[in-house]
Amino acid sequence: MPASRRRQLLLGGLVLVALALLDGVAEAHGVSRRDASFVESIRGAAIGPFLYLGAKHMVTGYDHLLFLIGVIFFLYRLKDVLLYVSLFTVGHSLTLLGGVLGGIHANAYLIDAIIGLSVVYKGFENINGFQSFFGWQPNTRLAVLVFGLFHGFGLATKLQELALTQDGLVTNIVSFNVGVEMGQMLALTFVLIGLTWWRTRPGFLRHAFMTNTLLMTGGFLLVGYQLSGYMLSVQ
Amino acid sequence: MTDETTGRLALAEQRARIALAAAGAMLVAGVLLMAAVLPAEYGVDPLGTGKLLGLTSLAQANAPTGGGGTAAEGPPPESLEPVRPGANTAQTIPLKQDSVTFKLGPFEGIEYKYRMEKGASMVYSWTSTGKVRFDFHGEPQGAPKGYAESYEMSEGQKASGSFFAPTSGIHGWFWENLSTDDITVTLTSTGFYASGIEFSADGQKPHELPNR
Repeated sequence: MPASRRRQLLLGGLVLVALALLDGVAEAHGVSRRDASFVESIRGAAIGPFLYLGAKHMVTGYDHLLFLIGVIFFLYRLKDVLLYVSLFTVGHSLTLLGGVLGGIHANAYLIDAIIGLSVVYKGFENINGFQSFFGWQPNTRLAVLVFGLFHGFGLATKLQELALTQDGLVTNIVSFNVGVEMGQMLALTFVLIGLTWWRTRPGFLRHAFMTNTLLMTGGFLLVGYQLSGYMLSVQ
Repeated sequence: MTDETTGRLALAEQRARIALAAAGAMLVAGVLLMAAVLPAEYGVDPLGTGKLLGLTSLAQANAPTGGGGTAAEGPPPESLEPVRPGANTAQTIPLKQDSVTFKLGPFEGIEYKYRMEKGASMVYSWTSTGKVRFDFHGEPQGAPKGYAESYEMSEGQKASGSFFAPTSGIHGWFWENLSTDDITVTLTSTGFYASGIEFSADGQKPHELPNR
């Protein structure tokens, strides 16, 4: 296959993924109403539906995706990608399972605001903000793990919005968690393909600064969106 | 120029660039938030752009008012012109007062409704010791079974208001405990209703209410 044809196919694929993501955005983050009423009708263990809901939540969850894009933006070796993504996975699985099973009810707005902040943090780190301003860089692995914990609480609040029955609770939560990882792998694959191709372009480093600034913009927007939601809800 | 001064200059330049990027990101996010997100998501319109772009209507459409899972089965039974009460709406039936408490186990739900004539009014307030999902709704008389109209559907620990029945029928709340603890929901109301009806897993239970 000639290179130009391959490139066309790749671009076509990327456009499709972008459209799918936009569709998810339009639906608003969280679990859609139709899915919610379905889940409420479930009694007992339902592995398939919860796997699907977990995967769907991740693939259409722009906050988690923005953070992951930031995390793997400058990771060139597959080994590093796997390490950082594993740290993120360990973090969010701990709090997803612990949060729902332990009945910890975090405020969804505040948790989502912190998730927005994690996006800002990653963008700022990627433009070398910590080194330039403070001459010091927080441990990047620890940061991914800690923010992973918050992302997990966010996932937990979304599950808690659904009235889960005690019957088959553990099976359903674990299924949701496994679904989240499957969705994450799916989304990451496409992000990695896109990034890898982009890095071969001459403009990559020049545009990297701008892209991470946009990432920060998205993060700030999420923080503002969630914080104002919080303030309106406690009024 | 020494290497050191070039280095320091480069660092200063880099710092300025990063500060500009961070400030720019915050500014753009702030403008987008004020101009588009707040009006569209919450109906809050600080700059007036929501009204200009028609975004505030999006927030109203998103607000949980339209029927949920139980509603929208079958067409409305009668034309539902809104009741427009004036400053005073005379009522003919005796005024009643009610105060009820429900205990809800984890993820348990209960429904409590008042029988009211079209145009009858009440003021109400309820509180809960834990977070509940609630649906304030009505079932018009003669409507197909399962048909309901939602007035307010949300989550929280309290709500209060004044209500004018848009149709003759039963009007009231469904509460569902969203926590893993036992909670109590307490409702107090005064109004021109005939009686209360409790719907739970154990079936239907009428509440006879004394006149005030």
